[in-house]
Amino acid sequence: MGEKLAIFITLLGVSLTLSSVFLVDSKIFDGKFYNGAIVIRGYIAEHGGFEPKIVRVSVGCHEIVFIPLDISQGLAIDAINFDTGVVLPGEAKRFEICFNESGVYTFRNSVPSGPMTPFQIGYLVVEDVP
Amino acid sequence: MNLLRLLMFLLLIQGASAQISSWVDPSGYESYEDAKIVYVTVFQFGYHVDAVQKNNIQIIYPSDSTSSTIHIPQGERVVFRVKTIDVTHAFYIFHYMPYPEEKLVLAYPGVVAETEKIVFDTVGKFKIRDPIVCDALNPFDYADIIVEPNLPLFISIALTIPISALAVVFARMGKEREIDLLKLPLVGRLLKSLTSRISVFSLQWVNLVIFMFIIITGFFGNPNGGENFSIIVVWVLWFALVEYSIFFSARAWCTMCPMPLFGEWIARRGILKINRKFFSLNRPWPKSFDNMWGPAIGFLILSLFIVWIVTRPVVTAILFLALILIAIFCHLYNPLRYFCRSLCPASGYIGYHSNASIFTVGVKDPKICLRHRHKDCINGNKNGYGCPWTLYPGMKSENTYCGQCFECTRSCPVGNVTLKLRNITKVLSDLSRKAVKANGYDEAWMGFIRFSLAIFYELVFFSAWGLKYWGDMHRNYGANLFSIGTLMPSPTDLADWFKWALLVSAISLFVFPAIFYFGAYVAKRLSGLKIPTSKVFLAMSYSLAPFGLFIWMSFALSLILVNWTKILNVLTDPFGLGWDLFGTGKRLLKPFLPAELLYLQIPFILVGLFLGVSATYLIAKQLTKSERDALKLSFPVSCIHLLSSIVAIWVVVG
Repeated sequence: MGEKLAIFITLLGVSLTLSSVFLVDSKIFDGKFYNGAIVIRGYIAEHGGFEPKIVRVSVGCHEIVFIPLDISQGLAIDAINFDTGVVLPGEAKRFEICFNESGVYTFRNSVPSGPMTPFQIGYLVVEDVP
Repeated sequence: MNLLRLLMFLLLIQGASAQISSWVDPSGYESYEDAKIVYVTVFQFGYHVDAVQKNNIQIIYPSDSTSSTIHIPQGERVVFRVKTIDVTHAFYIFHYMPYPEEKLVLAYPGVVAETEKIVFDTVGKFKIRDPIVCDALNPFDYADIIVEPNLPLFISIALTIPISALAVVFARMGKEREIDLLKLPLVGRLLKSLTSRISVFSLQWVNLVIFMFIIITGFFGNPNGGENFSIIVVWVLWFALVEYSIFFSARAWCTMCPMPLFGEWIARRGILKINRKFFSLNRPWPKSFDNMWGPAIGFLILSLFIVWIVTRPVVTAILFLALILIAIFCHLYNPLRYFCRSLCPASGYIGYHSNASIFTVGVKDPKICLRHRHKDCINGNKNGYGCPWTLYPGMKSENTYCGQCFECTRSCPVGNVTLKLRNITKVLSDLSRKAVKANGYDEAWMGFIRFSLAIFYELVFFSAWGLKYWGDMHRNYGANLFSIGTLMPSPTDLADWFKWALLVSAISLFVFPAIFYFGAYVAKRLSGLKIPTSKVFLAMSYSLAPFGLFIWMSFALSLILVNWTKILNVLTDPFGLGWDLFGTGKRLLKPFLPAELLYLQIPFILVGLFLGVSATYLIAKQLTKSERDALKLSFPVSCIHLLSSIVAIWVVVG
């Protein structure tokens, strides 16, 4: 193997590995409009809270996937009487939720997961989209 | 005033008891006439037995009791009632409960969970563990159940005496043998190709990519260590594999370690080509730093922060990044491997224990090296660099500082450098010869630190003791780059950490060496020989190299057998973001051989004791040259080994 090939392979390996960081930054999806399933990942408040924290959807029914990533959590939207109950970390649970009216709906962690649980909240912005 | 204080104190105690008895009140639950009921409170990160009840007799334990060990007579039927006081936990007893996937006993906040009736028919020690992640220290969240009589403990302890006696017999009778691996027909060719520059580079490249990924996942992945590639791959898989690889292949890890690579490549101005001119200041490394004090103290410092390092991905990432940067600076100062020789904690302990390895790099015929004038293995040639570890391979007789980079096998023009497999007698004899020549205390203290911390780690991480809270500074949370602020301790947490630091440092730096020195002093008095106690102390300390290695192997076995599902989980979801790259899905903690895993650790402790006692005798024989005096001289230190093994056994199965 030539020296130049070795340097090329090394640089390629290192740069590809480092670029994997772009796979994880889900914060760029904050405020994204969801047409399909809404995927909400749950970190407890001390670890940063829900990702994404702001979700935009249209009026109607939607599939919601909730995945707690650190410790057991629940996802509740009080305004529509929705609560997932306890979901274990790493477990992806799917539900259907329906919004009849546009508006801003708060979602929260419904399971005690640490002292900052009351502050673990996010917003579902339901829009009238024709 | 004092009366008032007493009154307040009594009220507090009464209040605490009332709090416990309110949930252990049998009238609120279904009653069992044929079973004992154990009330357990679960919290981050431990268990507390609040009360035990059989029929109408109920024993309520005081709230300040830290009891997390439950003693149960063999054949007893027990129902556990479990209450969480913080987040959602699960309750799982190794061997005695169905695997968590099949029936998980979950304790939700505000709800009391109850297990089925469990018949404790197998004696021994069994672990209670929370199989679902409940935050940073979850991997060390244990309570113990001892089903009495604890026969495995008594049998294991009883075995230590005949094994110690056998070790002495073995040391007196064993014959030294070694095999030239490169002469073997197929293996030799394979190993020869593995020592080529391209093979070594390939191994290094793979590890470089893996360790870069470890840094990335450490910074940006799930803040919970148990869900993050960086923690599981490094502190479960890598750590365990290295402990085993030391015995079978000495410093094989150093061959492929990516830490010093950037530094070395910058200094050499290339990756594969041989350059005579280095990009480095080329300053001489200070003599006072060219020893094992740096790695030994480095390992101790890492141990002071070990609870953070092995549970917070961001800390692991920062540590590796720091090691890479330090290695670059070292190579810019001097192009040789002084970072590995004198600073890297892992390299230090791997090198120390490599003296107990059956593998070694050595020369076929030392006379050829003596006659050879050019000394290519020191000066280098077009095929290889001179030894970057600053050794003269022709005179090399031990593994401590040989990094197995194989430059000497490539540069030797007469093919006199080879790879050897030694039998145990040869390993111990080489070790004893090295021990009597030793004149610095650096390696001795590496031995004391490593040995005492091996037992201490087992106690901290796999036992029901609460020491880990001090080391963790009572921080409940994991940490990645975005939640690094959760690491900030409060003043009281810092005070706890200082207690921890004092305890760890005192045990490894002073208490254990003092016990060993006392043993050396008694040995000297018992034998009546005119050897300075310090000489006996120093030489005998090398017997800890094989013993310590096997205690670590015992610890590593538990790590792997308990956490193997986590390895699969982080391969399919390295960032802990709910991915499933290989479609294997996420698995709950499911220990491999849950009933036997503790007992599988015992043979490692016993083999370690065997090798430690054998080495002690052989070192004593080197010091005295007489078998009778050697027996007298080795007896007190062998007794220390025996007692240490009993402590280790007690920690594991007691």
